[in-house]
Amino acid sequence: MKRSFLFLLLLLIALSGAVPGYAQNTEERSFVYATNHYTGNGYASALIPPSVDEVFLLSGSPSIIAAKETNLYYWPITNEYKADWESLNLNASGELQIYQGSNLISSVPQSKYTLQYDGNDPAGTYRLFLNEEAETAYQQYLDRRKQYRDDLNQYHQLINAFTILYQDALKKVSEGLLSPDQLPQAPIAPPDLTLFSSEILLGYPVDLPVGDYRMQFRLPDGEVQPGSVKKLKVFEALRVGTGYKVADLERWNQTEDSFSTTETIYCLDGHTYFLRPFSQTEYNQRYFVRMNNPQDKLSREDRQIWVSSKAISSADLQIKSTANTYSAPVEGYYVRQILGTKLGYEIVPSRETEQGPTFEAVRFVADQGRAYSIELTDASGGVLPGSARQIRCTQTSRSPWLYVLSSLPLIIGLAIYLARRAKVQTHKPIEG
Amino acid sequence: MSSKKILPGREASVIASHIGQLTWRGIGIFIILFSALLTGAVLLNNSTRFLEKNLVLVDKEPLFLPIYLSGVVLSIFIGLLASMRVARELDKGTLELLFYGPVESRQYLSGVAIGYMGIGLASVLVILFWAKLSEMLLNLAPDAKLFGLLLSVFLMICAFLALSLLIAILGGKARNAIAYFVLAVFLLLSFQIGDSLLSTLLLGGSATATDALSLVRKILYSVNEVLRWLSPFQITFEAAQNLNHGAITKYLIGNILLIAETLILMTFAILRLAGKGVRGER
Amino acid sequence: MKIEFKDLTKKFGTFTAVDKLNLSLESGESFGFLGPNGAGKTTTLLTLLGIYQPDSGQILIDGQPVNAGTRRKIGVVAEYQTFYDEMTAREYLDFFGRLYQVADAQNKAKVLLERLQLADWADALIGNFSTGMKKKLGIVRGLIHSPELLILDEPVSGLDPFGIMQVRELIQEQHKLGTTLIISSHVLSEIEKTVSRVGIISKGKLLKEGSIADILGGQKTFSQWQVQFLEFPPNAKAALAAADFTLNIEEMPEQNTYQIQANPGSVEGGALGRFALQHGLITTQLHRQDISLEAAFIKISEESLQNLV
Repeated sequence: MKRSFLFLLLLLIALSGAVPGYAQNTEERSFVYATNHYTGNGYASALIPPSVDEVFLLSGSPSIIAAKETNLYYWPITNEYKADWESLNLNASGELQIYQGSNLISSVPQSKYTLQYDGNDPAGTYRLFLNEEAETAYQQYLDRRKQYRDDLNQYHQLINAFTILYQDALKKVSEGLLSPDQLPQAPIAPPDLTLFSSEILLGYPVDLPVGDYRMQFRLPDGEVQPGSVKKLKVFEALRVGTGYKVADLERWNQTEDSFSTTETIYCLDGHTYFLRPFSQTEYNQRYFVRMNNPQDKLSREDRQIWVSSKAISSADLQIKSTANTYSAPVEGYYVRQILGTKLGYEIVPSRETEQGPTFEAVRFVADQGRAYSIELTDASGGVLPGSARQIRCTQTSRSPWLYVLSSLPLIIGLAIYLARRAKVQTHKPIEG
Repeated sequence: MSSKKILPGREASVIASHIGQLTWRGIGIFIILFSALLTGAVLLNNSTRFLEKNLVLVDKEPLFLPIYLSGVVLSIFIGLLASMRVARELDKGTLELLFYGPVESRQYLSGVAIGYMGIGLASVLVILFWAKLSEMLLNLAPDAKLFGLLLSVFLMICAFLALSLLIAILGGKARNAIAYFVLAVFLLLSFQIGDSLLSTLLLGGSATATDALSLVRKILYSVNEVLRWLSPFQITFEAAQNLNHGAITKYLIGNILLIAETLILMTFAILRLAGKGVRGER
Repeated sequence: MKIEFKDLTKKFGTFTAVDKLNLSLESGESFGFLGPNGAGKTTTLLTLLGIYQPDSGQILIDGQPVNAGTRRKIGVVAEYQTFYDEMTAREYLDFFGRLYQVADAQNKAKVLLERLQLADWADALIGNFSTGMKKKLGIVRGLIHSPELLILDEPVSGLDPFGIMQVRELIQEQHKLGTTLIISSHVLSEIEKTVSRVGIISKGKLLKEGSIADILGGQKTFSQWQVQFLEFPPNAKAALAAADFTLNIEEMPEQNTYQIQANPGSVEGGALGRFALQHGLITTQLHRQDISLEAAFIKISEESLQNLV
């Protein structure tokens, strides 16, 4: 009776929790922060709803914290609050105040900013422009975009004209009035516009040294915006390293990532692998994950996370085994589709083709039962940090022997049991 | 208090060797070892099957999970053996016979604990031997951290053993002891597994979310937060993860926690047996 | 080993199992505890062994309270004994020998097993032992460390007449070597045979204690033997009546039995069996009842009950 009452009570509590859960799906006008924060490689954005009390930013480059009013709703499927920017997206007026301890160290006024990304930049990073620079950069982007559109229009006109001329010339060639060498040359297309830019936005740029801070939003009337006080943690990278994306020749587009030097890459005998090295940076797991997803609950402060930055295209892999030591360069490989073959493709060095590389990697063939130590060296022979790994060719065919090994205690136990039975008198004495 | 009174002394060592003899003469411990190694073999075999299917595998230590789970199997069954032995001795009256002589609750329980810890240590060495053979068999990378993991597994066996002895003393009769034991194992494992399952199902999560699943998870999370500091399985799992991530200080703290738990639970068990007596309370 | 019970009281809830018991046993003395079931005999002995803690009063062994050190010098043969059935007798005795730190436990065990004719079963599993064999093994365990005090609770229950004789001889030998004996038994003849002083306990109170002669007072004593034969031998009466020890003889043909009254201590069971065998008679059962001590016990108990009413 008592137990069923307890069960009923728990059920009621659970259900009572469920009802407001659905009720919360309605939108609610709220003050929120939103970030366009520096991630080490570029910029990313995140929403900081009222339920989050700590904001994480990476040091080294300015990040933007925007103070907004929007409609918030709770999305039970992912268990998160989301902003309905379409219905309401207001920039709050005021200044962002940053404290360290009880000292006000910065009152950040609202600034204009824009974020730009140039696809031609080999680093592939975003750039943040503030205030006048933002206006200039945005204007330059608009100019370049306009120029590109004008060039494109002109190109379209030229290509239209060229098409008519070309068809006419072809006709003349077929009539023998014109030699094929005299066909008109096609106009050259303008280069693609690789620059992308955001509009001019409003926010509060923050560029602080590593440390623990507190921030609040002060309104023009001098009052502190309710719900705006948050902890602010500025952190830095722990170290840099080298990772590998490893793929078998038979499944070249399915890679396994190896981030840590303590990891071992297990291979199969006789298989060919491609190791694609990349630079990476290590961060505190909680800080980095919460910076990108402030509502995360799973990350841990006592763990680290490796974040890949860019592929390494120029280095040599030093491969050591008990049999020999050799070096193999990182080079471009081209995946050529071949119909009718087993794999449907072949992977060849791109230098042997006229095509650009599909990926850049070191080719590696795993010998039977071998163990290898690998590390990457740069042009000067220096070892790239964190590039050492072990590669092992695993004898998977022997795995059934694991069960035989596991049975050994049973066999020994049975032997001991039988030996004891033989030693002791197990029959009953006659009563009396 | 003199050291003579604190240390369990010769009687405990005689009882420990008695426990050892009784256990190694039976087939039960060998079946337990077989079950533990079989668990490890199944998990390791799964890794090799994954490698055959995926053609490449990146792993820090493929033996960690098999060894940890083998340790959990060992802990449960060695704990059950110990719990049953003490409950049966109480039930049957053989314990009373020992208490007629120079044996007291402190010496008896210390002796039993030392005996089964010895069995646990020998079992851990068997796992080490199995792991090293498996390494050679499959050409896995040898890792010195394996020794650290096995130390934690041994301490987990000790802590769970102490809990099992306390359960046996509290249960009194063998039937009660089994019921309490099964309940304890079920609670410890179900909260640990339940919380991690729900954490995986519900990505992220807000502190103010109030839907039904979130509430269940919050309850599980809260209980698990407590169990993180109490459950030998959980503490060892954390310690193993810390070891794997190179957080040596936290790994050591986990081990110290296991030792402290063993000592605290043993003290409780000894005090309870001394207070209750071998004939129980009337 | 001198034992003193001083105002010993042990209660279980509202039930007083032992009530202000005062008793003193000198070193080397043999003492018998008499009393009906639930009288407090076992509780007194278990308190002496430290299994129960007294509610008031105390027990001193050689002037010291009971502790592990004193218990090491005590040998116990309990009425209902439990064993590790998966061990052999040799292993079992070896375990207790090590526990009591007996230097030559293996030799001692061998000698004692031979004395009680268990040597052939030294390597047999105890789980396969008969009740009598287990009783004997319990006695060997109680004696393995040459105790200074031997506590025997119903030492001969479950034993055959020959076994009773073997055990009694062994106990008496121990006593002669200086071991203090405390025997608790319902078989009053056994008490009378083995101890020099008895105490009668009822409802937790020690009603009377003293030498057997004191307890008996002026009562006439005799032992009453019931001798059962395989078949009732009508012609045996003359031979039995002519024996030195016989005071009176009665026939009980329905049970194939003769009832013989004899002077106390004038004949042993073994001697009676041998006497019958000499006359071509095969006995199947010998049972002795000491009418005197039993009668005194009942009388004292009844008087005590009347006083209580």
